[in-house]
Amino acid sequence: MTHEDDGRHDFDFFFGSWTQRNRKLKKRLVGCTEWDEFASTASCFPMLGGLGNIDNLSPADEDDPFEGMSIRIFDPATKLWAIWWADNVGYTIFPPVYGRFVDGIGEFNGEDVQDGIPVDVKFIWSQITPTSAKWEQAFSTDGGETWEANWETFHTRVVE
Amino acid sequence: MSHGNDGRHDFDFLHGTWNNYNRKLKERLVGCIEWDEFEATGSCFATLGGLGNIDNFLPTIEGNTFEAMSIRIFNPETRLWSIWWGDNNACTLFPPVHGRFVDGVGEFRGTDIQDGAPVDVRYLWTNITPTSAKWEQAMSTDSGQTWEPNWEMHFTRVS
Repeated sequence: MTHEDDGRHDFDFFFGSWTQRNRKLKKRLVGCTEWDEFASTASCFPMLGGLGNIDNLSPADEDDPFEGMSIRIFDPATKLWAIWWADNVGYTIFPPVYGRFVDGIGEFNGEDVQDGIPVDVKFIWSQITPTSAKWEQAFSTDGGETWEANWETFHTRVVE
Repeated sequence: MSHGNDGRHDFDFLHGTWNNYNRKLKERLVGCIEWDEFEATGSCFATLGGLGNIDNFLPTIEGNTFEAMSIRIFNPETRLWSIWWGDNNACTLFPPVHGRFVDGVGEFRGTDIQDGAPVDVRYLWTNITPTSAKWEQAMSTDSGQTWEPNWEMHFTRVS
């Protein structure tokens, strides 16, 4: 295996500018079935000589002060990506999820605490085309037997 | 206190592009007194609506493949900055240091592991002018009684 196909390029598809349609569960882990929907924009650029990348997310609503970012770093030793989320509500970088792409699906798992409850966290990247992609976050409180999806982002590339 | 002076703007001075003259201790925590010297470039920009910033760090040594970055996020509730370092050698983000500026000096502390040993880590930002600044990293193995500086960066603004 050459460097080039060890997984380090598996997020290259995301470089550039995107518009995003978000569906975000109103409340997590309480059986809520109501979703907020909002539009946002993001752009992703490489860091660390190509072994990492960062994207930012800004709601399209200029009155919404929320901003988030993802930091992704590939470890050639494990061939795994680590992904950290940060935003200007949590004021910190959240614990990372780790994973990789298999057959076009990226699955990334980690652990965090939601409202005082330890949770397993899963990110799924799927439906990746040159001009679109889907990201989803889900939480589990039963060791990964069942998952509650709480955020979906549908990406459409901004043609520059 | 208005938002404007709670500390969230204390790294605004770093926005822009810089040249860095580096002095880096060859070996850490073994009494080494030999330093490597090299030049690097970096640029810093705001993120998270101004509550954070990101910079990259690229040595300008022929054949260099090392790249690093810092991510800084301000917490308005604690009025503390957290700073994470990441590079393509370790391929991860290191544990953060936390702190703030007092009288023009920024001091940030955290804990990490260096060669298997727990260490206290300290960043110091000093000598800040519109066109220059100094960053220094030191580590302690005696809970902060004594510190060994192991990396200095002297920043000169490009733009």
